Amino acid sequence: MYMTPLRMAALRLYLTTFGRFAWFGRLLKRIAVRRMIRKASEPHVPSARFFTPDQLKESGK
Amino acid sequence: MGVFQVGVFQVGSFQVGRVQVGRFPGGNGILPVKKTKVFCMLLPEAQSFYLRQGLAIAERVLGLGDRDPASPTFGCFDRYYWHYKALDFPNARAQEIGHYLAVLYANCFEGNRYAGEPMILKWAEAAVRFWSQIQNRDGSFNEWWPGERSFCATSFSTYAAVETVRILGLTPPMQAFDRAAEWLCKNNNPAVGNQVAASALALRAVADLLGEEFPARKAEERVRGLLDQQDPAGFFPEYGGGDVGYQSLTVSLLAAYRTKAPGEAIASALRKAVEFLDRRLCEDGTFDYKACSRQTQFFYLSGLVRMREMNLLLRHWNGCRAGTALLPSWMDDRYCFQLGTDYLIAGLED
Repeated sequence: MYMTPLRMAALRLYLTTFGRFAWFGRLLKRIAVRRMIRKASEPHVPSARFFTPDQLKESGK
Repeated sequence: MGVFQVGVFQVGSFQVGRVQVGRFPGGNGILPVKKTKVFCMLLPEAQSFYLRQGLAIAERVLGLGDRDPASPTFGCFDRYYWHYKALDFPNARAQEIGHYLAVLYANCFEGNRYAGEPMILKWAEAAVRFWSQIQNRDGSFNEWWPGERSFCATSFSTYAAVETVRILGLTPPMQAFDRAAEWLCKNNNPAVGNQVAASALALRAVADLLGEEFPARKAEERVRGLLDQQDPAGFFPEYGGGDVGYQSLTVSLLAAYRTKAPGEAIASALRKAVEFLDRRLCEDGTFDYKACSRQTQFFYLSGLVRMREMNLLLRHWNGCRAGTALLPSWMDDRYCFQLGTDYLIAGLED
């Protein structure tokens, strides 16, 4: 799922209202971790998917 | 190009003989990996390479920071916040650059024009000051969204801030350290081993700097919890599985912790952790990151250098020679300096 202006606005609205309370912040994090890491077919890892030379071979297949 | 030399080769703590040492290509990938069974490496040469790679990102990293003392965001190293204004809050992890600058400032080595430079000291100090300014009221910090209260950002940035203060002998922002330590004592994220290790190290560092006992006890507890979670295969959990990149980071963090609080339990856990890396890291320094739980491609070195794990370092070194090992400069603005700092520490380790 990619961010769109509408989604971003909705997220910011949540963060500036409910998100100010720790419980809602933790809820959002749990949902994000579940959707983007635990249940994702390809887990999202911020510090990953950098270029490595072996990928040149993969793209040439 | 370098001439072949003769040196002593070491495996773990055992010296196994005199071997020929190959060329030192600078990691530009122009030489093939030496595919012989004879391992060739001298640690000082590798450390010189680590230092050069750590230093290579210095100008880029300095450019990420607001260096104008008159600016309200002086000391902020999240360029996307203070300069581009593309974000509405600063990422606390960017302030870890203070640690990177402190290491550069405090250590004179070949090519390091920043050692002893007063402006570097000033910017590192400003990084810590800005870090304390963006702290949430409960002591936590944000990385990805406002009000996030990130365990990861609080752990890593607190440790970096304490190290910056310690290395440079700065006046510590007592309230910020106290509040961060208090928040870390109350919160944990046992599913992610590297973050737990970072939180323990941060708590221990705060305890040592401020002379407080409680955070040190909590750090011990946290390390014990992490060691209990270690899989029989040697890995620390990263969302349920082992991950070579994060394992190398956790080893670096625990090895740093061990220098502050030695113990047989942690030494034994580190040995098992290294055995996991030993099974995953190929002779050419690569590893199947796609089979890892987090698929990270980086490899942290300072723990292995501290532990003198020459066998693993040699394999990584082969990757550097072949240009396949991921270096700090290959990473983006958000992540290059953490690995860069680790490379500097690995290069400076006695």
